[in-house]
Amino acid sequence: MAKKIYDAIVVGAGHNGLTAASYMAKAGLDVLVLEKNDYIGGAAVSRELFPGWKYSNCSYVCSLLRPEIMRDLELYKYGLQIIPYEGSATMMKNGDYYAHYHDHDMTVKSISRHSKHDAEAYDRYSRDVMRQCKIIKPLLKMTPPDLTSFKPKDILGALEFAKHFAAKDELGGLGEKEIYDTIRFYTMSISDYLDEYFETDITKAHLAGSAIIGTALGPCSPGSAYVLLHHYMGEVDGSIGSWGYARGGMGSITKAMGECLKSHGGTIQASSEVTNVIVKNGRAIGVATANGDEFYAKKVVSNLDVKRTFLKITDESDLEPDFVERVKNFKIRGSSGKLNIALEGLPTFPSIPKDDPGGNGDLHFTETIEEMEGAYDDWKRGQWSKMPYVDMCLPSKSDPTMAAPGKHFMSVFIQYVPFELANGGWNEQRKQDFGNHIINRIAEYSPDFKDLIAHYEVRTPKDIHDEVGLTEGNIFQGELTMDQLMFNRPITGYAQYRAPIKDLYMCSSSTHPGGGVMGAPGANAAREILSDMNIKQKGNHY
Amino acid sequence: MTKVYDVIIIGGGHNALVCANVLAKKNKKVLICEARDTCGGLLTNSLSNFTPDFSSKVKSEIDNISVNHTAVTSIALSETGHHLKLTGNFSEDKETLEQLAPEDVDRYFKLQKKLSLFSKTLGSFMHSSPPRILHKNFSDYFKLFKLALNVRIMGRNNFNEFARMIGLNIADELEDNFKNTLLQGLISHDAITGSNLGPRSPGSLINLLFRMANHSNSLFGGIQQVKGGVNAVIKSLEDNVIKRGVEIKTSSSVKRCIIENDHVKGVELENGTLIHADTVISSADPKSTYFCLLGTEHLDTDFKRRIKHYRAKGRVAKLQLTLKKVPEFTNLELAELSQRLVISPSIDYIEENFNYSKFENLSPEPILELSVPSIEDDSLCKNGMHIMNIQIQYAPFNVKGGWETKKTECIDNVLTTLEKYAPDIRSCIAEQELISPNDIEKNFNVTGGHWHHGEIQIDQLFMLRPIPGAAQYKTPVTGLYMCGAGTHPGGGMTGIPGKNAAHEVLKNI
Repeated sequence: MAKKIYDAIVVGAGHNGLTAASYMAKAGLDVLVLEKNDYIGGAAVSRELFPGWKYSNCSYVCSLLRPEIMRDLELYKYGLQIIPYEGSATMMKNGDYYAHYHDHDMTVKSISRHSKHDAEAYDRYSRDVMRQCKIIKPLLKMTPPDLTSFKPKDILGALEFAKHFAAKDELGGLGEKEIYDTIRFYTMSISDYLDEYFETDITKAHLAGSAIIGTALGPCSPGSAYVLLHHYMGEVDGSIGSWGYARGGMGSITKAMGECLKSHGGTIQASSEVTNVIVKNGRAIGVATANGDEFYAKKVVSNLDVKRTFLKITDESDLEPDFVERVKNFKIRGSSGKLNIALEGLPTFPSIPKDDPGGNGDLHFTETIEEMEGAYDDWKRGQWSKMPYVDMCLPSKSDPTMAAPGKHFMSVFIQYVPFELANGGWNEQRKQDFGNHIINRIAEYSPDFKDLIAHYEVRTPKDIHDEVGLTEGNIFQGELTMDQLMFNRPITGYAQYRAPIKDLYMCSSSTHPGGGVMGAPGANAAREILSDMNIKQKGNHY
Repeated sequence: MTKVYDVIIIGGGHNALVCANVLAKKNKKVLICEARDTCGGLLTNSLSNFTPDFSSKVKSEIDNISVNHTAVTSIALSETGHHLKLTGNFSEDKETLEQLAPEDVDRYFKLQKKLSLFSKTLGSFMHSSPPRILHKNFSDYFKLFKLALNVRIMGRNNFNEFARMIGLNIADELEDNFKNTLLQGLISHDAITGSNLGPRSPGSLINLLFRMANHSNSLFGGIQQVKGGVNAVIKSLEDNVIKRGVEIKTSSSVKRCIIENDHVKGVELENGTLIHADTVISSADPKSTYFCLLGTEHLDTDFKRRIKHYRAKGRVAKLQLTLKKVPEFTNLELAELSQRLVISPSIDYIEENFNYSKFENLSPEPILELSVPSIEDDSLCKNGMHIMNIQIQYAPFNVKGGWETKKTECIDNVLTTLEKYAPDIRSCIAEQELISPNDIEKNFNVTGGHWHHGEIQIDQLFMLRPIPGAAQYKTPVTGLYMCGAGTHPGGGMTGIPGKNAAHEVLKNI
């Protein structure tokens, strides 16, 4: 019996895979999404790991998800709701705290408690960073041009790219000074960058956090300023740089995407691990799954990271040795871990006043850049950081659907944790030691915290690697360094979502513009696929 | 006001001398004011071990320099005694690597070829003043176009690879290519010398390319020793400019520049003497130039802030030992001690050192580059005794605790490290002198005591060096120029900033 031939098969039902699939289905293609786990969502999931609590056990906050995608895919219609949260705070050992708020003036006032100088500099800082956000925004929905090509499309693309970099001085025109500033911003370390504005350790430490989350860079490593931008460029309800919770946990995002896909006639098949891309005469014609099934399609789209795509599910003999080597050298380093905690009640943090909205957002307790850099040094030596940078939040404070009334879910993101430990691999004992280490650190700032724990889950990069499928547990599916960004992402010369094998595409976070629950790689990939099939998309922003 | 000169150059380092030479050849009347009692600045035997030769483009613009260069072998010391000796000569290196790192031979030459091509491309950017973008000036656009073309003609694959490498760190590239940790350590050493980067810091690769561009585009080929030390080079440069009628005033520290209506009118010396000239070129580092010589009252806030944050904290110290007898190194012959010996056995070793330096601490096991040059060259002996020059990386500027109290500890760390390779080193020492980055700042008037007058990192290179808007050897004050290592293309004994600055000046007078 002749098997059905789909228009497109997407490997992996993460948010980018679902985005790509939904765009294609919306354009009229017959799309099949295959997922290895028995649940969809990849790293954007809500799971009930302990009865009564929903866990956003991988990604935990939302901001980067492009609003254009939400509109194009009508995600609100399918139940997605983003609840912005109010601020962030760093707790200090001396019992004081440092907070930022949604409101700029409140933030300035709060900073001036610590330093008048920094409060004044904060105006300048937010203006400059906001300008960078505006510069990068249009680039997020562009396919990076191939700079070596002389095709008009690529030359125009390169000019377009250059134009965005040059544009937007204060009056919206071309600015020489602004270009220099941009080059500097993209190449500097966050520590050097913040030194140009601020003088107080606590201000710098609070801001630098965003520049190290998820990367194998320290705050003193050149290039970390860009990572800060990567965490700032998102928006919630048009407010750039804001973060929010997806109501019902991060899984609501992928759930809405899945609904959108289904309503356009797409199919999702869980528990179907793709083991092989079937290549015939230099073309990808389908995939084979672990249980022996074969599925055929005109286009195969991989939402796996670039290493898994080409080293695991593609036959090496179908690729040039040079390409394979470059994939092997792709830098994808696990550096983050998580603790997901179910709490019987709301823990108190005595250093933050009870009604201060800063306490509703993300909480930290790293007070100096040195401490952060020291945490990074531990990681380089193959140990988890003794004094880690943590990003804690309690989504259940703003979202009652996460836990029963009075109970709370707490997500603790930990930087840095190595994928492999210097003294041998991860095992249960080490995982518990690591979990306890973090819990003890938090308890230093919250006396009643330990007693409230009902259940907790420890996630090391190894767990994320094994379960979610992110190689080495890198949350961005590839380091966000200059050598792996834009036209260098994932592999220089292959930044346009097309794999070297015909009809095989990439749509994962390994491609431009990179990681985070953003959806942009998926939407960009879908656009390229549709344009290869000569199908016009109507009314889409991507 | 006394005698009238066309140009006054502040400082008498090698860039100043090259600049003076180019200007004097065009019949300009030049005066050099040097604060110290000798010219040369940081290029002096007590600081510089090895130097590359001047590039042909610099040589063709200055008078003949009569010194003898001899090529130097780089020897990466290993505690096991299996030292790695590389000369830059293909067949010799091939033989060495086949013995010590057979798996890496092919990849070594492949990498060398690739890096060499890139350093050449980078080098082609170095010999003219950087263009400004969006300056609506045809020649600037033309320059930019030429740069893009230079990169593009390398071919598609190389172009892509170049784009990738610009921001890469050296450790990744070496670990992708080589198995031999000693080889990794040696190349990484050259990538981080003089900088405030570790091998795992993005940007360390461009530092290596920069170094190669000044060393005949070779990893280990262009490293040379000069007969009589670098002092001989300075002497020769000095003789040349004096023959051309350039006046050199030593021990004449400049107190400030005289500015009238945003035009430079000359300089005032510490002793109160006023000297007039319509063009003044400072070879001092950017911070000294703007904050000490010019004065902040002539700068706008934004400019001031940028200069203030220009990163120039030195990380290298120098230890000179006078030796009663030559120490014995395990598995090294006497003659080899005059070569470049490097103690930097692996990437992790360097990175661990860098971890200490980041927090302004001393590492107990520092990275060393050393040599006993007097074995080959008697003229370098001190009181009839051999000398050993040791360069210590990383030795942080403003080390925690202060250099006055840390010097003994630093020397002790160096000797303990050296003992692993030369067990009798301590018994050989007659005298020892450590020059810390703070000493360099004090004695050589270089803010931060930085070798290159400022970090070699992308945000401080090319049209961003020293700061955007003042990267074309010009300053906001008409008639005041810069020609030191703090300008494009940066430090090292190249003479290129001096040469380029001279051209920029000639264009305007």
